[in-house]
Amino acid sequence: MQKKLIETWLAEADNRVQYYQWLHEWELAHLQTAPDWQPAFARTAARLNTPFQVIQPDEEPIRKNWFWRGGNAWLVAASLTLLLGG
Amino acid sequence: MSTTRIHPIPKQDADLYPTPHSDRPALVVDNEQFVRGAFAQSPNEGFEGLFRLYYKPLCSHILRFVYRQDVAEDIVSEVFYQFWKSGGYTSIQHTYRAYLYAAVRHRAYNYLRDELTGPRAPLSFDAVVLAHADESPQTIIEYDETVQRIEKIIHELPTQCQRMFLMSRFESRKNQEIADELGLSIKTIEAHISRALRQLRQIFLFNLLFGFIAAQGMQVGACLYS
Repeated sequence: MQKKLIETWLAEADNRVQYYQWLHEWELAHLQTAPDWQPAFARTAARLNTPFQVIQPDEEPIRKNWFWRGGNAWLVAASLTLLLGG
Repeated sequence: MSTTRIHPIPKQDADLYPTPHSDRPALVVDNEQFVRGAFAQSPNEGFEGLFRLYYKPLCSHILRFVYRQDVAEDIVSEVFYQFWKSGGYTSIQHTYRAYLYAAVRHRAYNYLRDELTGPRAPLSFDAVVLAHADESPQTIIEYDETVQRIEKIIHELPTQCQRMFLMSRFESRKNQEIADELGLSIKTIEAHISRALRQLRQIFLFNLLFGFIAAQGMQVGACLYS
């Protein structure tokens, strides 16, 4: 019931803007990390000025999928089979 | 160290920038005016303002999904980069803040889901932008519930398991370093971290299963009424 009310409230674009304002204020009050924005800004600006490079799928920079590479695919398949079969 | 510049919004340009419902009072205090003013000077100055306002809290927020500092910073930086490169900042309907939070949450959720349940076909950023534009209340709630479930699972891990998991993820320590510091075998460390990951994986398996059942239900419904 409460979830439905929240969904209805979030359906309004203005309320979603308000929601992100509150989320931002809350996050500022509960920071878990404080990385320096200036080097990140400098790297991003520099990256925009470098020639475009095609990134191969296995070189994608932020995907570090050590769980999946650990040979656990069968675990997922087996779990789904058990859940769906049971 | 770069210089911080604050640009008061020029009166003549005030209406060139998106403001939510300029014909009636905004629901929230608009503290993005100086960013709009900076964008009036150049994209470079506009993005400098956005980084200054949002980089830190966005990284903090994404850490709640991925529990890895390096990954959180990569995700946030990538969203800023694509937002800049695509020119998306010129067509923001409401606030930069709403766009940036929605985009990084979307990307972080997909990253964690893929990490724990296997990679899907990589999305182009266009697809990410579209997904954001179509962001539904259900999606927002799903992301919030995911953060809450992750926190609950980690909070409820046995103390030793929780400690090893946080050292591995939050502090980016290698298993061997953790083993050396705690005086345990590397196999023990691996076993505890695997246990934590199995628990986290349940979040996404539940979502997958729920989605599968919902899709099956729709198909059955379509057959019955066709």
